[in-house]
Amino acid sequence: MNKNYLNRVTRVATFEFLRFFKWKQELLTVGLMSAGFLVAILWPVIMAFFDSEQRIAVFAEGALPEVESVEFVSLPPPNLRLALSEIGDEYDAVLVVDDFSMVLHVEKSSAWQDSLRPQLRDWMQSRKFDALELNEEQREFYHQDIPIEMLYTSRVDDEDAEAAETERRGRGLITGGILLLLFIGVVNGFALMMSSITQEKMTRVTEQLLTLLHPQEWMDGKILGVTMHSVKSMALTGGLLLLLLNGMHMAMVGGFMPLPLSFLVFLNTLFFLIIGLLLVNSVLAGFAATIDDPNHSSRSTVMFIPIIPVLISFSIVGEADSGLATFLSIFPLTSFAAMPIRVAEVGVPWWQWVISVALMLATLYWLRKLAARLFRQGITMYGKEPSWKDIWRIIMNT
Amino acid sequence: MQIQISNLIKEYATLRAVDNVSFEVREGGIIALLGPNGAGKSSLVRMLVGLTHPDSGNIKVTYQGQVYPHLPDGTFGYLPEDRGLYQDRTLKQNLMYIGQLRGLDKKVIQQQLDHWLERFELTERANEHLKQLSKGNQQKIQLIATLLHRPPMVILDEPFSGLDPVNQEHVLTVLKELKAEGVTILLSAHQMDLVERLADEFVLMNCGQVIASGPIDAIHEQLADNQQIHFSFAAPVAAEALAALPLTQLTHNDAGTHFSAEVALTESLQSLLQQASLCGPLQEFRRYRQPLHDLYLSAVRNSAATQEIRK
Repeated sequence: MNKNYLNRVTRVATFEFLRFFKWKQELLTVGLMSAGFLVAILWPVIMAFFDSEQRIAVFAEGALPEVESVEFVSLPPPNLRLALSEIGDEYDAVLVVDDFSMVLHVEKSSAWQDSLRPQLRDWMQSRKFDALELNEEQREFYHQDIPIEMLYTSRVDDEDAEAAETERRGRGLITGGILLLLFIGVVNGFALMMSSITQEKMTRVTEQLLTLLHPQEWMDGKILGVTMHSVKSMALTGGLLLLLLNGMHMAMVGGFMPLPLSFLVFLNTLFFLIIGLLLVNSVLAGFAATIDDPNHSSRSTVMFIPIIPVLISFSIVGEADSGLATFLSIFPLTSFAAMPIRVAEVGVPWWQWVISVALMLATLYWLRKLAARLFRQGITMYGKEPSWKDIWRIIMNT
Repeated sequence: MQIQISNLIKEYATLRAVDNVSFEVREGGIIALLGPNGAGKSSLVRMLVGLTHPDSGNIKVTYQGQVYPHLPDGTFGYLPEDRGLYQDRTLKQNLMYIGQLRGLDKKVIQQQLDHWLERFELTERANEHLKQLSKGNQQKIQLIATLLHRPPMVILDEPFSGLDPVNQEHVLTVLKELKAEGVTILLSAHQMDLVERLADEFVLMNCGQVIASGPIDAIHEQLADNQQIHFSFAAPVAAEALAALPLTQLTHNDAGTHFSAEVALTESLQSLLQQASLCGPLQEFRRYRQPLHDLYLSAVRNSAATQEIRK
């Protein structure tokens, strides 16, 4: 590869990355996300701090209900009138139980009543069950758990099927997370590429720089620089998410959260995500190059198209061995999102992987060429956008 | 570096922006492209720097013994008509970026930056964002970006626009210095007085066509209908005494000592001088050259292309 080409592309990529990388903004983002995560972790504690305990007068025979943050006070029937008059003052509610029905007297509707209702229903069911007067053996039989044993014919070596199921769920969580990060990366690329190219056209930077650079060098540098930014956003969000999940895991279970993702699967995911972002940013660069003024161009909405493959791929999470998943993981415009899911969730035959990578790289090569041609055409038209007919002609020529 | 442009044509849809243009740019000279808006100057320049390609005709650039179809990379600095740099980056970041894209070493860029920022009195503002600068100062930064790599050829599309008179003079001085260093300069501008003081040769364009070209004398020969003369006598002379001379539009002062008139281009000034000296004690005989601005205006108004458009 030409040394000058590499040198210029690196310069443009670095400039584009630094142009959008603002330390203060990055620190603010990290700070805000960390604060959000901290609030999420501490939410139960915060809620407990602000929750007040309810006091309910109960007119019923037998044991009282047991509900967290609610104090039940048993009163004799003659006190009913007095208790009702003290609702909102001494008591928050009065519960009157008659055989197998109940009435809850309250001053006005409130959120705590919604969580209380199912618990009172369970308590009443339990009272009804007690009324059957079953012996100990009958009770035990009734409460006995009914297990469902899972036998996987494709996983004969798995001694513990339950562990396999847990791992599958964990992988589903991971692949969902990967797609979420990819979504963030694509949206980030959309915003930056749009602003990068149209701003240059509007501030007339293009003509001077085009005498220093070949359009291909410029486009490649931009695609690389914006992709670096997208990867940075994904890494930052992913890292903070992982921190949050581990924090929650430590608080609730103890120890670090196990990640059902081998190093090879991680590398494969990283490879597809990076190539995918390069591919998506090439499409975005091509579209942006045809837009003269983003405030007045109807073409801006077309730039949302690259988000579609990511959204479609959400449908194959947990269904990675379906025919649709196989197709999506090979088709070059969706494989960057679908293949990491398949590799993480089920085994992929090596030849499918090779075809997928080959098609994806060939498409990337073609798309960056197309982006440069559209860019060159767009800037030499001076004041107007290339028509769809022009764009189609360039696509065909490329 | 020498440029030969022959029969160049460029069309955009139904518009012929450059119509059969030919001229030559000599090494070390300053050539000015003149013409109203839409005359085809920028289209011509864009072909020269390789941004667009001619539909027909020829551009021959000779540099260090080699011949190229447009200016070779790195050998020229280009200040486009539509210009701008990154507003949210500092002066230094902008110029460093352009220097690095030119393939210059960081140390060399820094040296050039120090030199040019001082030359344009912007050293103190090197770390300010471009958007904090006035339009005139941004214009100077654009010019620095064009000259940063010390090219042997500089193409400047409207280098004086947006500058106050002081800064216009400043840029004029810098361009003269560049010429003295042997840099070839091609510029287009509307400030006729400045261009007349600066350029060695001129190309006047209108509606894509060249209506006159060459040094200022040649432009006068091609465009002026007649020549203006001023002459004075030590003693009063009656206007009737000058009736035999081939003069038109004759005017004089009350004393009858100072006269102005127009003479056909075909008349010899030498013979006119001799004839005038016979009419009285001739003190002064001076040919008055029409300013380029007037020539330009009348030439554009009277050009065939303009007449065609008016029809």
